[in-house]
Amino acid sequence: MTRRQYIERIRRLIYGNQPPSEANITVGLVNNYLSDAIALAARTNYTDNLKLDGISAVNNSFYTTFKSLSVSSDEQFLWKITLPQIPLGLGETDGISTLIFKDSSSAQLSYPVILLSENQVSFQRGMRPIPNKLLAYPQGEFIYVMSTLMLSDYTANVTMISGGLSTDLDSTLNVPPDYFATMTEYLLKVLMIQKNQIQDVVSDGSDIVRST
Amino acid sequence: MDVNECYRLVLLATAKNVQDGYVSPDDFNLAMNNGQRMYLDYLLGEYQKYQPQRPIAVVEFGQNERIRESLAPLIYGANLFPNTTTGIAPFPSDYEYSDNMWGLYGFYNIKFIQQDRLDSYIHSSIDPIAENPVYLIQHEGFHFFPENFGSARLSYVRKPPSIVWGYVPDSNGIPVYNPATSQDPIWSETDILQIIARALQWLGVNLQFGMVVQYASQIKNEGQ
Repeated sequence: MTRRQYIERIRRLIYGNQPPSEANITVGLVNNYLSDAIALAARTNYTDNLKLDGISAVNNSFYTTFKSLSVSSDEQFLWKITLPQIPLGLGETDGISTLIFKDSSSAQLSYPVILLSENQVSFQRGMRPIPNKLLAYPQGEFIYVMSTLMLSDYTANVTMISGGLSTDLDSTLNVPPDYFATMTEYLLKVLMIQKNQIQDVVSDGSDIVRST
Repeated sequence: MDVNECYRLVLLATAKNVQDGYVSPDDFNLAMNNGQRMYLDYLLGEYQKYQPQRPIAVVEFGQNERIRESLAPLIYGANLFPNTTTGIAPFPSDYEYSDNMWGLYGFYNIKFIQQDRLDSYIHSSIDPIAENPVYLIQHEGFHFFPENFGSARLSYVRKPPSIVWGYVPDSNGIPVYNPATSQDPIWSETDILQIIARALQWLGVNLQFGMVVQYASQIKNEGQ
């Protein structure tokens, strides 16, 4: 199912019909809340897996690979990659599963980079480098890669938990269908709060709700 | 129903005839045009009937197919090309009420907003104004945002054309119906009765016919 189809489904549920031209629950607004709903679905899947199998993992269907991300220098031997979104806060670094580098002049891919938590970064600083391995740590919407190599000559491919490309409404929603119900329940809850809110429709210079 | 039949109905309801001249053609024309304005107001939604906390009239434009069918003879479309500097497009000359506005290509919605929300819409980061154009209504016409917005397609309700019972005086000076100078109502058979009822109310007050006023009110409030 594409994002657009899912958003249309939510809007039709809220309006009980095709949304009218006056609709305040816009496609953009639902798409914005959709990121929260996907995060909730991934977290639910994470805890479900932990309860059922005793393994903290998120189903593969939640993952998206973002390719050709540029790498820039941040400090000496420290390289920065900007992610399309802040990774989900699952586990220490479970929001991101894989980071690899690609040589733009050939089809060669690097081995996956080892992702560290912030606490592990402190330990690593006092350790000897691991031969033939790159280490990195995510921080906010960036991944910092520690390396003496000239990484800005390469591009990065990052696989992370994400519902897909939020800027492309025709992209497939990367969520397994058994978690649509969780997302729908959440979206209806938050959007109906907005829909049912009493509105200040009187332009009288005071922030007081006077009528519907 | 043509205008001559309407006139005969009005004369019948007021129990007068052309010879007696109590409802002259000019009075009829005036009353009918006033009646159709009142009926248009009724179909668009009379805000006098709003209730506290509930700004909805009993009958409102777009409420259902019945209302839209009644107004169908007045629903027109127009392409608007706003000034790319000011963002303003004047109202069509016969404009009465906006139905809907879309982009000229693809029928993407252009939303009507009120002035006090303009800041929120212009600075929205979730629904950027460039991709979610809006318009205000002001005295010059429609004011589009972003102001360099290119073109729009408007569906609107136009003012009803005048109803005219045209005539030529005969040798005795009595007006005789002249189809050539007349203009028939554009309303459907059922809707024209609503307009006649409203016209009768005016004529009843004018002629001080309590019975006529009462009859017209009854039709208006309780149906035919």
